[in-house]
Order: sequence, then C-alpha cells, then structure tokens
Amino acid sequence: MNIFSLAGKNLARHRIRTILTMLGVGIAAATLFSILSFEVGYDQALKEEIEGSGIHLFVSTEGCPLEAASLILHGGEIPKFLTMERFRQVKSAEGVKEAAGFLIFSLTSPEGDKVDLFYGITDEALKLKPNWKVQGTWFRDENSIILGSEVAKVEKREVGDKIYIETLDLDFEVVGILEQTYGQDDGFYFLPLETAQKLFKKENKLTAVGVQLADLFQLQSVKDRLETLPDVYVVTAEQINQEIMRFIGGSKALMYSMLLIALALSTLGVLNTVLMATLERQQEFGYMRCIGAGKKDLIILILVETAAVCLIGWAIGVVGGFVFSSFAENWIRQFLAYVPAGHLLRPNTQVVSTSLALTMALGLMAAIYPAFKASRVSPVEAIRND
Amino acid sequence: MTKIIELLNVGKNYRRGNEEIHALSDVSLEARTGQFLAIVGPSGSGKTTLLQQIGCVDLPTSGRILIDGEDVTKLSDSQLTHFRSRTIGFVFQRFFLLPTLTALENVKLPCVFTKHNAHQTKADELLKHLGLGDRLHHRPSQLSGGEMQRVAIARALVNQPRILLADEPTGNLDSSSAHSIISIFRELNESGLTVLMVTHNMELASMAQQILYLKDGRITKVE
Repeated sequence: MNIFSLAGKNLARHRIRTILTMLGVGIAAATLFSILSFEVGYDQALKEEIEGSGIHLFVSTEGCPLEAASLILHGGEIPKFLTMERFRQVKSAEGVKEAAGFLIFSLTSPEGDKVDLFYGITDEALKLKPNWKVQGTWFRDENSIILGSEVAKVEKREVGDKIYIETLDLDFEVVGILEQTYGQDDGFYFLPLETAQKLFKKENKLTAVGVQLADLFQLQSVKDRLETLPDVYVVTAEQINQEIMRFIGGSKALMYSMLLIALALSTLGVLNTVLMATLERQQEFGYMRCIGAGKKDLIILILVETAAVCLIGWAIGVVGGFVFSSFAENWIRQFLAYVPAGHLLRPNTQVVSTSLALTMALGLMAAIYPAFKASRVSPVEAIRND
Repeated sequence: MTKIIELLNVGKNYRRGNEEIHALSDVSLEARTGQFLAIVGPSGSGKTTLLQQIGCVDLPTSGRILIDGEDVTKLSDSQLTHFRSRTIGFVFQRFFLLPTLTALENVKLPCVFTKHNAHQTKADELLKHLGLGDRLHHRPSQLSGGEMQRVAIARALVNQPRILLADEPTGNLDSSSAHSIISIFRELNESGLTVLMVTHNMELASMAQQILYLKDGRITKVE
C-alpha cells in the first residue's frame, strides 16, 4: 500500500460525491478544451481561408473591410456596385497578376420561406479559389449552373440534371457540383457572371473584385495605386484578418467569460468537496499523526486525492470535448458574426497540455486550504475519548 | 533493565474559555523496558493527558519527558513525528480503523507514512498471529469489536515499537472480547514489550506490574 492507493480508497468512500465533483471538473475541462481548440482553430481557419483564396487585395465600393471580405469570401449583398470599366482598370493596373469580379445577389421565394443566393463568377474565380473542387465541368454556356454541395443535397440534383429555380422562373443544366467547403459557398447557386448580370439587371456591374499580386513586396504601392481610382475601397488580406479578429473579439470575450464562470464554479466545487472531506476526517487525520504521518504527509494525501479527481475529471472533459466537438462547433458558429470555412475546433497537443495544466493548477489551488487545515490537526484530537 | 520512560515534574495546563485547567501537576514517574504499567483514576483525573505526554502527541507546560533516553520536550514537530512512529504504538478505545481499508491494509497504514516497506510484510504475519488469518481482507464493518481491536493492536505493532500505549482498550468491548485483548497484552508484555495502559477496568489493571493512581492531575498512589 502507498499514498496513491490510500488516496484512491479515500475517494471511493463517497463515490457519488467524488463522481459528481469529477463531472463538474469534466464540464469545466470540456469548456476549456473547446474554447482553446476554437482559439487555435478559428485563427487557422481564417488564415487558411484568406491565404487559400490567393487574394492579396480586396476591392469593393466604399465600405468597411469586413464587408469586403465577407462579400468575396462568402457572398453578401450591398446596393453599391463597381463597374466593369473599373474592373478592367484594376486588372490592368501595374503589379496586378490576376483579378476576378463577382456579382452577388439573393432572391426570396414568393412565400417568403426560402432565400436563394446567387454568385456570378468567371473562370478567373478558380484561380482565386484554389480550394474549390468541382465535380463535373465548368460553365459550358449561359444556361449552365454549378451548385454548392448543400444546395445539391437539398435540391437532390446531380451533374447532368435539369434544375428549375422558382425565384428566377428559369431552367438550368447542372454542369457541376462544388465539393463541400464547410463554408457559405456550399449554399450558393453559381452562375456565369454575364448570366447573373443579365438576370439581375446589373449589366456591367460587379459587387467586388479580388486581386492577386505578381509580387507581394509591391502590396502597399499597388494598394495606393488602386485607391486613386474613384469610388474604390481597397483592403489587404492582413487588414481583413485583423478586422475580423477585432470584430469577433466581443464574441470571444463572451466565450472567455463563460469559460471563467465554468472554471470558477468547478474550482469552488473542488474546494467544497475537498474541504468537506477534510473536515469529516479531522479525527482520522489526528490518528494518522499519531501513527507516523507528518504534516507534509497529510498535505500530500489531500493533494493526491484532489489531483486524482482533477485528472479523471479532465480526461472526462477532453474525451467529451472530442466526442461533442461537432455539436460545440455548431453551437459556437451561432454566436459568430464571421465564420471561416473549415473546422473551427482544432485541438492539438498544446491545447491538450494547456487544458491539463490549467485544470490541475486550479484544482490543486483549491486544495491548498483544505490540505493546510488537515496538516494543522493535532494528534491530541485522536486520543480524546469524548 | 534500562529506563525507557521517565517523567520529571511534568505539568500540563490549558485554557478552557477564561478558566485555566491544571490537567497534570508535578507528575514524575519512570518505567523500565519490558514493564507493564496501568494508570487508573476517575474521569477527569488526567489519565489521557498523561498518556498524550508519554506518547509525544502533546508537549508538557513544564517538566521534562525522556523516552528511550531522548528528551522529547526538545524535539521539533517533525522530529517528534519520526520519533513517535518508530518508538511508540497506540491502541485506542475507538479503534480508529479506516472504513474503506481492509484489516490488512489498516495494519499496513503506518508503513505508508514511515516508508518502511519491509514492515508491510509483517502485517499479514501479525494478523495471523492475533487469530485474524481468515479476516485479512475484511473491512472493519465486517468485523466484531474484538476483531477490530485486534486489528488495531496489529497496526500499533507493525512498525515494531518499543512502547505500546493503550487508552481504555477494552472500553468498547464485551467481557469475552475484553479477556481476549487482555491475554494479548499479557503475551506482548511477556515478549519484552513495554506496555502502558490507561483503564477504568481494575481487572485489567491488576495484571500490570505497577498501578499508578491518578487524581486531579497528580499521582496519589503507586502499587
């Protein structure tokens, strides 16, 4: 027998209480694990999305950078448009390697129960969206349509099928289906740019332009050059990244507040359990002092008991965090104003080790007072017969 | 035989509210190795307080206590803990067995703190010697009072102490179990162990070589 098996036997004395405390720690650990995974995952997903787009500069009509990012990366509708002439000026500007124009529109069904999102694009979009994988072919004619994976699933359409779009009152041929991107692109109908401009009566108009540079070192000079064009607003990918991070800062603060509450409750739960278990065993500790336990031994015993509760609670939390990660991800998505494509929760070894270290540190902190109290028990207490 | 316990003018005072209690006053006594001493006296006479001083779990207000030649009043808390664990074994009226541990584990418990792993192997042997060979893996709730006290005795002996202190060891037992415990104490004493026992039970006290009568914190008679 050793101090660890003794601690284990002590914990087994009040099984329900021990299990409930472990579950409390587990919930806090799962929250911690999920939020740390989100912290890593969101930043990575955003970086990947912006880097993956191959777009170095975003050009739109005047507005905020977030609007520009949202427009090009996910779609969106604002009642201001760039002209094709402006697009050509952007494309031919010195230092611009590639540029792609987008027209984005939404239509609500007459019953008001469905909103169709349309994305008018050209072949150049493929160069700026290298992550896209299209099953089937690219647009063959003005009646071709490419469906986002979610749209294809809802409409039960496959490559080669015809599709009637009620909001447009038109038939199209599904020439391609975009493989799942886990982003908003999955919910779009993609049309040839000219078709979209004609259908929405926005000939010669674009919602935004994505720009790829020949040389990234020329970023500032190209930006300055493009900004001399009238009614043009230019932002860099980095600015967008920063703006988005600033924009979701409030949501992150809310999540961290929830985390703090969960950790505080869990710490108080541990303190309550350990303190109760300590106060119940005053005489026992006194007796242990009589048979050779030093103050240090009793402190170690309490800390080992607490560490075991926290370790098992943490393991429950991490396993729970993994198992329910998709649920947690969907839940977190609801609170965010901007959600990049790809997984938002990306646990790694650092997340696992940080959550373990924090759980153990808080748990052991909660055990300091009870452990100190146990060590102060006088052995005289054990010998009293009253 | 050498002196193993020596108390010189020991006094112990403590406060209860505003009142100063003189639990022990000018107590001097000595015991030699292998001796069996009984301390008797009415409730509140200071028997348990005296046992606490000899057991090094409390320090006197005045006087000196020498155990096995060591002046324990000069030892620090950690030195006292160490000294206690290797010199003194305790048996109490209320057994103090941990409910989640088996009889065998309860006996091994002191070794967890003293780190004497070699002594852990003695636990099994001790329990068998005390007639609990078939109760090794029983929990206290599955044992009778007499059996629990025998487990407590085995636990007191596992670190091979030089002195066994017992505080009303038969106080919670029926007469048959009490006789069995008395026999064990006698046998342990005959094997050379110094035994000092606090009791109300005169039958138990009568088997001691020396009986100290305590009243109002003073030794009034020695037989």
